[in-house]
Amino acid sequence: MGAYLLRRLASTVLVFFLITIVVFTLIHLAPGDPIAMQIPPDQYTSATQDFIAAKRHELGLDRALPIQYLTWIGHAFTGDLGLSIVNGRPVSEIIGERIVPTLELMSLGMILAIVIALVFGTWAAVRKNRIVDYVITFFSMLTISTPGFFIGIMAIYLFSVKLKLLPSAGMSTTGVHTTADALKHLILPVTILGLTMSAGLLRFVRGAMISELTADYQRTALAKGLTRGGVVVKHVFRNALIPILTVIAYMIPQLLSGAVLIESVFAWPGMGSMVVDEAAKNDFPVLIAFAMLTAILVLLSNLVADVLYTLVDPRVKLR
Amino acid sequence: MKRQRKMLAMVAGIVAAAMVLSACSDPSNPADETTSAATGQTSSPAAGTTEASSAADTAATSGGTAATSAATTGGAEATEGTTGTPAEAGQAAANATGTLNLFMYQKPNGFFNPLHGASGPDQEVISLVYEPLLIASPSGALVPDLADGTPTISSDAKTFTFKIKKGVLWSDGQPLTSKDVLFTYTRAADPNMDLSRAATLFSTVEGIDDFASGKAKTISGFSTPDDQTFVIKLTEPNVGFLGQIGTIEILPEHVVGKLPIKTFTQDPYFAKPTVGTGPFTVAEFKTDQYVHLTANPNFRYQVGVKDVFLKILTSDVATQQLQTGELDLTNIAPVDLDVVKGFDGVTVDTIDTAGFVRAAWNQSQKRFQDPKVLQAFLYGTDRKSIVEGAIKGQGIVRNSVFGPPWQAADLNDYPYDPDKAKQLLTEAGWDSSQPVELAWISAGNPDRDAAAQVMQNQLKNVGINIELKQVQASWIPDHVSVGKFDMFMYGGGDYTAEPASVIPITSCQEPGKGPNNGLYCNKEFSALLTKANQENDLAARTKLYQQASKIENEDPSQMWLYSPKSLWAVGKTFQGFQPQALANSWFEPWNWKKAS
Repeated sequence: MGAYLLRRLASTVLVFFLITIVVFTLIHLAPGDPIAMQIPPDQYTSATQDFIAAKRHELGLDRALPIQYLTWIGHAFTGDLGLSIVNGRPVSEIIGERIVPTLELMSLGMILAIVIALVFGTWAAVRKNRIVDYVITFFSMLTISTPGFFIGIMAIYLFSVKLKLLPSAGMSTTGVHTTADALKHLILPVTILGLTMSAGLLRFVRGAMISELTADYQRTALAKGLTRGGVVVKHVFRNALIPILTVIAYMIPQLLSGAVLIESVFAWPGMGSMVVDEAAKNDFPVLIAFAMLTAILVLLSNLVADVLYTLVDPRVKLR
Repeated sequence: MKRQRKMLAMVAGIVAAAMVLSACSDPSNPADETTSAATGQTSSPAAGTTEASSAADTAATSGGTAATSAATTGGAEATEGTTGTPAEAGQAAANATGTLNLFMYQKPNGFFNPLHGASGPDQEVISLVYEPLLIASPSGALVPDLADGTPTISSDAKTFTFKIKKGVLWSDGQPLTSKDVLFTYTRAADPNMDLSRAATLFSTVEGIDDFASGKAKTISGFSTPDDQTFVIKLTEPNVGFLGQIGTIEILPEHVVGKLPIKTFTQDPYFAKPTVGTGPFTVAEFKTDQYVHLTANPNFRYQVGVKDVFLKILTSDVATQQLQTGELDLTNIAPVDLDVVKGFDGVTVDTIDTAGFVRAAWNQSQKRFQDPKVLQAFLYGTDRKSIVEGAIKGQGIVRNSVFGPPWQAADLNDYPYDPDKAKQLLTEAGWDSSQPVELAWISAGNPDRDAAAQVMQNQLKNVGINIELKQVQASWIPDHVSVGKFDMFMYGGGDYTAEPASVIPITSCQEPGKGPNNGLYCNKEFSALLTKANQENDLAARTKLYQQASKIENEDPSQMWLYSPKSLWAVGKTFQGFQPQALANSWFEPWNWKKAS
């Protein structure tokens, strides 16, 4: 197990480096010089091009790409992600400001999604092919096939505009700094993120539970006198949980992209709106840092999922 | 003039740090922000360009006899300037109540510094905190703000004298004097600063060369005979200068005078400037969420509203929040007009602007050098139908590089006439087999998508083969700015009150060496502009510009399309709002009130 983990970790690190190289190259190959883009064409002067060249030199953008890459990665290891080309602020500071709201949204959304999926997925499995199952299946399919941003807009229309129950966007009412207010602002985005993320997971929970419910050991357990509820909770649920956990780990990257979409609908000041802004400005350092963070998140959740998977299924050899 | 100032400021970007430059453009749409960034008046992508309404007479342009006649603009407001209910020192905020939430269409760079350069959202904050000597009124005329009456101009148009209002206090209680003006203008020209304007805006100021080269510590052309007087001397007549310099907001020397010069424009102080002469000061800047401002107790008039929040939102969210009452003011796009009009308790104010949408021909290409060809484009396109369709009738067809007061009355408005277009193309020997690529930034500009479609369909009928090319902002530096394109459609703003501001964008130039993207070159036109800028007599000057407008009408510098109106949706509890012809600046915001 230890050796497996080490090997798996080593390959993750290697993949991470490959990703950094690819992302770094791609972003730098994208058209549009971030400095030239800051100067509107109506404001060129005879010295503008010299200025752009000088600035590129100052920022090291005129050096060979491998050199730029090595410089960047060297600094990145010391925690220095560089400065934004657009406003000169440290990238780590920019990301730091944005990551908290996104994590807040992601983690609460995730918890909600898991709760919904476990409760309704189990319920549907236990009542397989009965009316409850059909209703739950109908709603989960509806949620899977409707984009989150659409549900978001509809929810805003209903709960904010029509019923005036909840705020339509943002993290707080301007000038108000209370927990109650912050919670009110969380309700809609978290619910919608949780709902959209829960649908796929719910289908999986239902499937996993059904296969466990029909397993032979269940008959044995019933035969030795356990109640059906006891079997479901003590045996079936526990057995089904491990593959479900694996799926949850795989879902985390998906959760990030879901959160990014929800952020733009609800004007949530997180990483999603940041990356859209910066991409339009070709602000390399910020974009690269964002891509790297995403890569780390994806790699780590895959690593966790793989390890969990080997625990569930001994047939997957730890080699 | 603000636009001109900012344009020059941006031109001065050559000496600026990249981050500073970044200030000027809308990420999604730098081309659109060209003029607007130039003006510091970036407009809401949702609402199209919102610039000066009518380029009314500039305060700077009249003059007349020796250093006496005040420059006047149309109407009484011109000499009175901004007004309000006078307040005792420290008591201005005594009756201020309520909170206003205003739409900010894009995140600010966060340097609320008038010398930083042009970024629309930042300018919205700057114009609440600081004040210029002269300000554009809602009608687009320049009127006195910190200046006490209109400035005087000598008959040779080389000396300008500003009087400064008495009794104006900074928000920390210190008095405003002409020394603050001297400090601000000198700092703006300082060659050691990121965004020095020594070589651009201030190039005609006496002694600027010695100052820029470090030979002199001060600029001999600037003087302060007393605390209320500021005098500028120029080396050559430049009537347009007054309007360009007068709109720079004045900074408090006693507060910011000691900040390091090199990084002055981006000094952290300007993320939360607490001292200004304006009606509000910045209380909190929550990155990417809002800027919170509070009433300045030392303002010279009563301030009506206690707190102002400029909220950074997308236009969709802004429209929602207008409905829920979470927002009191937003810009809207013409296509949303009918929907927003239906909102309960929301009124829509419209104002004519001289923002415009046009397409530049690359006139370095031989085929675009014959005016007959250019005229054929105009005759061959039904621009009225574009106004009706693309902007729902909320605007007018445009025909000149100049705003209305400077246009001759009898300009050809090029009515839709495909036969005439065909005939002109035949006469010019147009080769219809060669396609013309029309590029534009589509994102956020549904009106331009529609306009491009109309142009393509209609011009095909007259033998012009338009190929449509939607581009990203990143396409511009390598193509538009350096003369590597056929046609490029983009938005821009008008020359608030200063027609001299068209000089840079119409002067003969090589590709990539200046702001004349279409590489238009008409020597007769340029000569007239130069002459007009030396003419101190308003009537004579107007005549020269009108003459020039005739030339540009025959030999168009750009394919003029339309000027959209600016549409403001105002919540019912927001009183005292005056739509400003200049986007991103407010007029008399101290008179705003929030009804409960």
